[in-house]
Amino acid sequence: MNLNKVFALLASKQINEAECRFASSTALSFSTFRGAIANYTTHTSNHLGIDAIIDHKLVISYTEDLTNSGINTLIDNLITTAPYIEKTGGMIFHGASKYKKFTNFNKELATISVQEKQNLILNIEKALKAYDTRFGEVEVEYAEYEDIHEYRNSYGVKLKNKSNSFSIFASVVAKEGKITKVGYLPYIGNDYHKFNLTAFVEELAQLTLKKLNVTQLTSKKYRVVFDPEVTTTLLGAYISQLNAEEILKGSSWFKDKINTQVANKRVTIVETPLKRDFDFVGADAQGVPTMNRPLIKKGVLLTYLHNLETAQKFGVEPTGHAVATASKISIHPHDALHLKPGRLTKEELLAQVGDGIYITELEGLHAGLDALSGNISLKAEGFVIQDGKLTTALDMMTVTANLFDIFARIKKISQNIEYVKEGFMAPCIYLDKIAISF
Amino acid sequence: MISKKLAKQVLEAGLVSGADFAELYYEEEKKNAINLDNGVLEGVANVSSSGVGIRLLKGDHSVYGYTNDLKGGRLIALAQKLANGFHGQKVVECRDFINQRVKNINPNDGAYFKTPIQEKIAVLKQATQAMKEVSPLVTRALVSFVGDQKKIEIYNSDGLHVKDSREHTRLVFRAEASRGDQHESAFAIPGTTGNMDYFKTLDINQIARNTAQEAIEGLDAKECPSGKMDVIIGNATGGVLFHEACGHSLEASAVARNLSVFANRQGEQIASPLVNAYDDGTMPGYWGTNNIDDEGHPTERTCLIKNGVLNDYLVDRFFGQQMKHRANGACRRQSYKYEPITRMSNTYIDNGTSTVEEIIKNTKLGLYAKSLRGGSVMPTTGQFEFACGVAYIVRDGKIAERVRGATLIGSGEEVLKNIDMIANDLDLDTGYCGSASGSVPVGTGQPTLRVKNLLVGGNGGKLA
Repeated sequence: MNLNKVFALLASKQINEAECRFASSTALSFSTFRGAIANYTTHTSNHLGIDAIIDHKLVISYTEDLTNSGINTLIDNLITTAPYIEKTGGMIFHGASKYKKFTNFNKELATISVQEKQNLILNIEKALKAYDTRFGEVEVEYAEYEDIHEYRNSYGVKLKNKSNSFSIFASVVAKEGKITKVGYLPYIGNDYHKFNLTAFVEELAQLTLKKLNVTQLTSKKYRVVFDPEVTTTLLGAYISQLNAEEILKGSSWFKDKINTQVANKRVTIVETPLKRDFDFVGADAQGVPTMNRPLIKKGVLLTYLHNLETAQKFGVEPTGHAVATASKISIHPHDALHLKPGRLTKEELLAQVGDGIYITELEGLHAGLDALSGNISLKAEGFVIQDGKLTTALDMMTVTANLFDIFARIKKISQNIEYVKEGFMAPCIYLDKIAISF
Repeated sequence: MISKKLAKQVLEAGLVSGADFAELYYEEEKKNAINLDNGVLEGVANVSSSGVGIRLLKGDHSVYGYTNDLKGGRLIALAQKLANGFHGQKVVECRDFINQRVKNINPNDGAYFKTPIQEKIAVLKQATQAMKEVSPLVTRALVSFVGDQKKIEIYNSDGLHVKDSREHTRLVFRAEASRGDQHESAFAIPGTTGNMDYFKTLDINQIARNTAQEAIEGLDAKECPSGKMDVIIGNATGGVLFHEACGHSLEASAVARNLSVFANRQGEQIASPLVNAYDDGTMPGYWGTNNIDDEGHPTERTCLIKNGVLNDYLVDRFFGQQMKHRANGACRRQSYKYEPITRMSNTYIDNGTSTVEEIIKNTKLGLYAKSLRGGSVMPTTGQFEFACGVAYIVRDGKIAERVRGATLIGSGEEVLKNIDMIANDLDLDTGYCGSASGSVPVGTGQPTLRVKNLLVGGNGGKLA
């Protein structure tokens, strides 16, 4: 994409302060079903977003039509929309002295043949089917992404990043008598050779089989341990509330809580977008450099998440959390985020619990979490903890709690920090007096 | 739009290696959203996109690809690349295209985009003012007008050529109420696939005030009790429960692969005899309505459950071949970026013979979930969870205190069988359903009904 041409076109229409984001993505995916590759999908797509300052207002438009006519329409949309925008104060970044760079593009991934990747997932399916006679339908999906992101603005900031990654997602249906359970496991990375088929199959198979031995308990308050995957889900929802725009509008529990104790002193939450891995992010959508930093340290809130505009309103430096949406520059936490582990092994932590419930899945967070109040009431799956050991599976139960209260009441954190979906990492967390209904 | 000559070249290129069906789907879409936050017009979103999706089928295998580079050579190259997914000889030729006429259920003629922006802003300002006037406890009023116009064109190797246009317009009301550290929110989202006259039939002020009031009342709500109890589920939004807990399990994509609790059970009693349920893509103006589906079949009204007996499934061409069942106009996708599969349109449980008052009066102790926020389901097991929006305890046949944090949990079949009263106030709501072929607009509805002995999650102890 020739962004010089775009800036020339902007200038010809008297727009002299703007930023452009061009993205090009290619992907392929395929899945197995009953011993064969059942679906194969491939795509290429490109898009361009322009933010422009017109009459001191930030106006945004987006298109996939990258012809001259499409780009002209995009710019005309900016001009015709601007008079109606009432919010002022949008800005374009003047640039930073230094940007961290890291190539999160693994050349080797693209050189491995499609056939080899298809054989990999066919072998996963075969291994899962052979693992246990109680396993029925198995589906395994492989997806691979390659993205180029280019950012440029009127103040000379030029950034470009090329990245790739792949994911494998497998699900297996297990049946025993009248009980049917579905186990699933995702994997994401960009080093193909790090994926261990045997370990992946073993983990999914064991996870699924454990679900078949189901019991139910009585509804009451229990000692509860959240599995790392569940902890990351809660962590993501918790940190999302640090959005400075929502704070300014009074729509976040964290309002007026900078430098105050918002969580238990055991809680330290750190984001590491500059970690040299496939999810490396060097700059945000406004060209602001990111940095590794603690957001909450020993329970004390250190910072909100800012874009340029909110940082100016708060009188602080921008934090590199801007993301571009179709209508505004929004704010979002980075994927590389983790809860600092504790000292106990998972086994030691379970031993301290004695009797309780180990939660492995929380479902429906999109509807079951009221982000404003922090109240959650969610369907859960997990296991009985008896004498410090995981025993029978539990399902059809609900966990009712408050998100902010959870992080305030953590009793113990394990040391087994695990990498889970979307880059979030977390250990197990232990709380008591959590309401569980059956 | 794509010329017939190019379409033929693309489909022929896709058929060379043994595919028995090839399809080209073209789409151009423009979206606009005007957002007011506490009365200030903060942003206007303008998004335009266009692209082509190519699908090749061979028995129970499919390959799919898409691109937004619409040069003829790129489209042919994509079809050739996809054809590499099969390894046989050519088995069918692409037939000559015959233009299929489309019955226009939803005449709208680009109405949203023709309406001047000032008129839409005026409606949003009015709604904001109505919300804020309810109480100082309303700390934030967010209102938006959102319009989406899509033009599509489909060619396939059976000789089909069809064009259609679609428009979805919604007015979004969201109120936030706060008292100290306590915050609650409520929303309402009326929408139409018809023209803008629909919005003139709405009492904008009343909807805004009701939304604000619901958020304020939430501040005084008590924690919902938990455990198994009789649950009255309100009309309109309540229909999302049937959509999630039962509808997804009736889609051919789950049924054909034996991944549904309702697979191979046509003719079986799967619900209370009171239950009659439909999926109807032909209802003028409704949110899930389309003239044709995304593989070119006219949409239909399908009776899914008749007097509690499983009557039919929702079927697309690909999975229909595996099920030996004709496609019934239920194949959908979010955009050209998604391979289409069976999806719902407007799905609802039909009216019963009770009244809402009778259902409440006949409930000694239970929960009245007047609205649901959303949820999810595992079609293989039918297990679901739903968060309640506005909910009350019912005591001795009367609506009592409002509660918050209620979640409904169960399995689709259990719920269908335990419905023991259905009222006569059927209404449908607007929503978006996310699944393998993306997020598509759907109508969900039902009359007020009662489910016996449903598991409710909450933090308020035992119901008494």
